[in-house]
Amino acid sequence: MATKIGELRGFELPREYYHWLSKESVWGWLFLLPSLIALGLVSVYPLLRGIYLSFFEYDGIGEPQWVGLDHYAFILGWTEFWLIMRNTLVWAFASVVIMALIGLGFAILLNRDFRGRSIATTLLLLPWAIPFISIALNWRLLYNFELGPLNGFLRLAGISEGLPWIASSRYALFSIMLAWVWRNFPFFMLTFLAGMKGIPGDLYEAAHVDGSSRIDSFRHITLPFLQPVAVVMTLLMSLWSLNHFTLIYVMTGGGPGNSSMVLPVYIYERAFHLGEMGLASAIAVAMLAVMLTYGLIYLRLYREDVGGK
Amino acid sequence: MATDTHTTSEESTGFLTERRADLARRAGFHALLWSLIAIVLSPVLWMFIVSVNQIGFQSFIDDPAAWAAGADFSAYFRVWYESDFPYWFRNSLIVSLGATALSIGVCTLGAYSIGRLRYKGRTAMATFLLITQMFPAVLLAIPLFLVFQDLGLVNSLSGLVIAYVAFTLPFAIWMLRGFYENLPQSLEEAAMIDGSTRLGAVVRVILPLSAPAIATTAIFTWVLAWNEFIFALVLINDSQQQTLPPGMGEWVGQFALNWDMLMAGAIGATLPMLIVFFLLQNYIVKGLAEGAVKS
Repeated sequence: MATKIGELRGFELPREYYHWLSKESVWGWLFLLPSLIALGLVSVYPLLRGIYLSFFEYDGIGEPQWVGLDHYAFILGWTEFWLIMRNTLVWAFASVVIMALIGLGFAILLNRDFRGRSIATTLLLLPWAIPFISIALNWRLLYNFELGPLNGFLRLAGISEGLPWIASSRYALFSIMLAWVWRNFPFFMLTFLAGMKGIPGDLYEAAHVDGSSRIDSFRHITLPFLQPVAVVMTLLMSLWSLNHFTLIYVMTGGGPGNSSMVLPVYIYERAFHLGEMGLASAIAVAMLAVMLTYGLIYLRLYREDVGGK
Repeated sequence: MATDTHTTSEESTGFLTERRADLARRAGFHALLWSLIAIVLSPVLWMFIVSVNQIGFQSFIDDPAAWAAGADFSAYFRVWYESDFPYWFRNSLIVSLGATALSIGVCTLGAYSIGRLRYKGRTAMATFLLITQMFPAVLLAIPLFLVFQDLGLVNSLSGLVIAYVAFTLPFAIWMLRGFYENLPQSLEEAAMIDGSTRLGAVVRVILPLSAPAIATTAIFTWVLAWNEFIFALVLINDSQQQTLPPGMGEWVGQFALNWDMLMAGAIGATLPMLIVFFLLQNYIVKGLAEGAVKS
């Protein structure tokens, strides 16, 4: 219903012109304006100021000192930074893969017809309805060496006297990851389930008639159908995982040592406990670079699936 | 004749074993499914058990009767009367509701614009919104803290509401946009032929139709805000102005041995989300499912 101004006046403007001047375009920008102003103020402006700040030495109180690219040069050769970067990437990508697989498994179970299916779905969704802070406190207790059920089971089964789940540098990151997976697998479960409902049943029948096995049908029908859903969920979830703060901050604070440290917690500590706002901003910019690179490569690879028509 | 009977009996036993196998398969399926569900839910159960009577796992297994005899809700009263929990709870409610109202008000028009109108720059705007999801929250928190310090907005709940728009708004627009794309294209055009303006058509035709989708988006926005930790940690210093997540995060050190209190608080912070979850389950399931499938 775009009114073509060119048509009304009896001549054709080049395509670009009527795009910009059409009524639809004007309404489009008008409706978008409040969102753009709001995001400009609380998102884009702070982002730019954060990037600007990364060129200064600043403790939050005195005068900022211009240091140019010094922070970035320092970061590049800084082993601690690279260790934490590695932790962050392992945390984000390993947890997304695990939660996607568990979500897929539950989706396959729930995709059958059986009595109590909706109750089962609701119960499995429950972890998603618990705030991060409660999950963090709860899992700290589960991992408690003396009182916690996890070591309790290990002792009952006679496997060991108990593991220092979040107290040892060997297991801490993995243990927190378990809590994060527990909270998020329902997300994948539900979206996979919705995706499976969209697959026409006669596809499976045809495959069955052609003599293909269940596993073949799963590989050649179910998985391709689930791909678009999986692509979007994986993108969002990996960005959210890279950005996640609460569980790690509350469960270990990044310790012992830096063994469970990830970038968001580290940047917070640097900026607000050590008063190194400039250096913290530079690390945050490095983190932004990683997230943008990953996000944009992903969008390029799966443009159609994410919906950039 | 004899062979005939033989075959029939063999067939019938074959039929029986098949039924039996089917029953066994179904029983196996249910056993597997429900034991997995029990495992998934056990952390929640443990949270409740400890909140009504602090106990170690070993002693609980040894003597559950002693635990049941001592069970009461006193930890919940201590949480409410002997800590800043009630302030945090109130502040969390205010901030989450405020951020949700603000972003829903703004995002409805924005999502309509991106989801339904065809104009140059639309795709770029949609991509921009997705990119804002890639901004690390800490990177925004540092400059926001400096700006809020200059504006005197540190320790202010309304300042926090404004900051929350940074992550609630793009998510809300992204989620609602998919819904608008799937409405039949001719709806508001019919109203416009009857002489209404674009805005009038949106308000009278599109908004009522999208009420359920807006409600779903509001729930998800509210959940995001209820969970938010880092902005509150950075922008609020005064404990009584704090929200639940950072407040309870600091609490751990203070009450390190009172696990009943910590678990009572954890359940207290969960309650509003549980209520929303059980009341609006169907919307949530649809929202989670369609939000992703349709984007």
